[in-house]
Amino acid sequence: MTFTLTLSGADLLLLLPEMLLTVWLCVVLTMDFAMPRLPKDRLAYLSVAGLAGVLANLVWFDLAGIGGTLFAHMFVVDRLAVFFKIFIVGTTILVILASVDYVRRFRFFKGEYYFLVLMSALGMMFMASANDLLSVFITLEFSTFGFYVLVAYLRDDVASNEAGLKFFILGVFAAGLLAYGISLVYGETGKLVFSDIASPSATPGLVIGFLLIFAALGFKIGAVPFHSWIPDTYHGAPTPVTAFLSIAPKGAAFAILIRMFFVSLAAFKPAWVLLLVGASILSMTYGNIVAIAQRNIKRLLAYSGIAQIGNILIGLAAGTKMGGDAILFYLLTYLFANLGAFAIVIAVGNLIRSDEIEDYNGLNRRSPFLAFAMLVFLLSLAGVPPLAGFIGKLYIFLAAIDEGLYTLIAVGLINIVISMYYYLVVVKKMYINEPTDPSPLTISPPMKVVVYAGLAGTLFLGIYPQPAINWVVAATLMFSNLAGPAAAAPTLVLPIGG
Amino acid sequence: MSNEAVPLNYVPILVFLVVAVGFGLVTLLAGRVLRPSRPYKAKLKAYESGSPLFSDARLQFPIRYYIIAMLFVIFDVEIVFMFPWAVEFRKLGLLGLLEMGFFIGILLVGFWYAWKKGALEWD
Amino acid sequence: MELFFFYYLAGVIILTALLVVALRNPIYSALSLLIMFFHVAGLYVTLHAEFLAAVQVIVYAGAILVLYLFVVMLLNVKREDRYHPQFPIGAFLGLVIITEVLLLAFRRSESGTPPMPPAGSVAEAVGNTETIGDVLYTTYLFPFEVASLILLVAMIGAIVLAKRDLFEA
Repeated sequence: MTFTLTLSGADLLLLLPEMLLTVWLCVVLTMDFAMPRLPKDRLAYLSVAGLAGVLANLVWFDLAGIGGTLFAHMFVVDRLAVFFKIFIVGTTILVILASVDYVRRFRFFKGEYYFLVLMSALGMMFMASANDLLSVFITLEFSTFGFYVLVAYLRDDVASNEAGLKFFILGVFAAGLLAYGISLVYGETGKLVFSDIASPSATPGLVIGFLLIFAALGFKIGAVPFHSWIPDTYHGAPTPVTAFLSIAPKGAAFAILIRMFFVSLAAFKPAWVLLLVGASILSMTYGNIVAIAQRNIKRLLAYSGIAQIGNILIGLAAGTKMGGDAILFYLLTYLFANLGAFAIVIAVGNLIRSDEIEDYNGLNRRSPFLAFAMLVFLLSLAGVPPLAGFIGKLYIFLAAIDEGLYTLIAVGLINIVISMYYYLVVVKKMYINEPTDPSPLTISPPMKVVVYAGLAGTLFLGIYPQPAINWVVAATLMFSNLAGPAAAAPTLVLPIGG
Repeated sequence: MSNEAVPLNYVPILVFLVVAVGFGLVTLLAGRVLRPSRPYKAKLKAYESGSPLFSDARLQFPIRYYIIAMLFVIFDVEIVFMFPWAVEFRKLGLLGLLEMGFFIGILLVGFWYAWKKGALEWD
Repeated sequence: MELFFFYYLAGVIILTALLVVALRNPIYSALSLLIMFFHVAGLYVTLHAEFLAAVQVIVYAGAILVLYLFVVMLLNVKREDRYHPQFPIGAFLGLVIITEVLLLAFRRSESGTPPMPPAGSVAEAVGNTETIGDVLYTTYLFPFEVASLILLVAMIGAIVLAKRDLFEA
């Protein structure tokens, strides 16, 4: 048996965005150590320029319909992958712009920060294209390594070290679960590609393997009961890293979850719908209820993130093409709103050196622009029309209604009401309370760009969502043949009973 | 290569292992059995050429050992990847050379970084 | 005969793995880990994967274990006096998972379809190193190149986290 590899020009074209980013990040790193007297802000703008080039490349892929699979179906470029890559690259551009001021305050290792952010972005781009379990494992670990270092970046700060340590230990434990699950699935089926491991009979090994893989991916997205790393990590990490961590890895992990559930596990839908309904209800309820008690805005946004993931899991529990569309659209709205909110937190944190909600008192007096932007972002996260979050939640609930998940929708609606409370508490403090120090706050141009981008995205997606909806519907075309819950009757061999 | 249940070529290693462990055990046991044991307190103190002890021998472990060990792990894994490539070098041809060139190139960037940032300095 | 080797190696692996977490002195734990690595290499040899056995000894026992020991000495980790207070919960969860895995193992022999073994006959013809060389740089090129990027990020990350004073201010 001979193994051969044929790489034609068209194949290499599929790898072009990743190759560009790899070359660019080597350039950034080289410039960092070869020109030590270069002001590090230039590296930030250089990274953004490179990412803009990659983004243009991806948009071209999307418009020209370029796609294909490489390396025996391990690496796939389809509309779904391109969507997630655009999502990740867009997030990274905005995160880097938002970090410029923050990184200026570091004493050393300023340039490596941008390099590590680019590395994590590259890893997540690979995750969006991963089509078999080996690629999933390698790319997931690759993208997380950058984050382990970034979370612990402030070496003189105890909170950052603790956050890094907790994240690292729990993260490698999740990686161990992932490896064990992959080995069980491989042992049962002998294959690794997602479409090949869709076997018709659910032996116990297969079930346990997939459950372990779901546990590891659940760790990545922060679903309950795999959420315990989120509050401490988000609290202790440098705020731009928290912003990055709260959006991009969740998107990339959802790319893998969508592929796994809709392709490999399509035959067992009745079984995993229950699992996802449970995870969704737990995440929404736990996230919203605990968020009410928070005093620190980063922890508040952490728990709100857990609740938002619960909302997105409703779409996954629906298990249809519309559910997939809803997940993608919700991720877009979540990107703009969450990144905008974190941008405000970074800006205020840079200026007043505190992240406690009490210090947001009277923000309207000090900077009406920041307070208004925060209002828009928090209301979008809560799901108030005419903002993007409302359309996102509506889409998800419509997908769930189609599948008859009425309990889930009822819990979701109750949770929207609960979440409004803690978002509006922050709004009230900003607008109605008096500030302790009424001096005005101004923000730098890169931060303004990020806030305007967030506002533009949130308002545009809320008022005129049709182009975005067309885009996500086109991205999930491959799942058009997903059957409803009553169609398949699989043979389920569970370890308890028959 | 033979196709038996247990590769017989490795049994010499097992014999070697047994002999090595046995050698250590036998000498220690023989010593324990044959030697007289008459301990008294002065015998148990640490030996410092006759003078009494004045400090604990432990120092703060220098971190440069750790950095060198970390860099060693990374380059060790790189070498491990090069072994199968070297064995199949002729069959993999030009494409294999280019792939390995990319691999080493990426690690060269890291090596250059470590050099310039002073991670390889001894003090 | 083969079964004897497997039981011996597997038994020692489980025993030393338990010792790693159960022993009080961290250096003794590291030494148990070393013994475990050698026995895992032995398991690889019984599976005709000699290259993996050699890599296991060179990389795991030779580099990673050294790193563990350096960390133990760097942090001056002392002997533990008592077990962690959450030990009963951990033990209970561990028992639950072991029971599940045993049920899985015995259910295997009852259900009709055995798992598909991958085609392994090619390994004996040419040897493990050649086979890995054949397949790693052709079919599995993508994970291989991503591995190089992982090593790069590990190098930069290690230096960022460990190095104190620097070339630049």
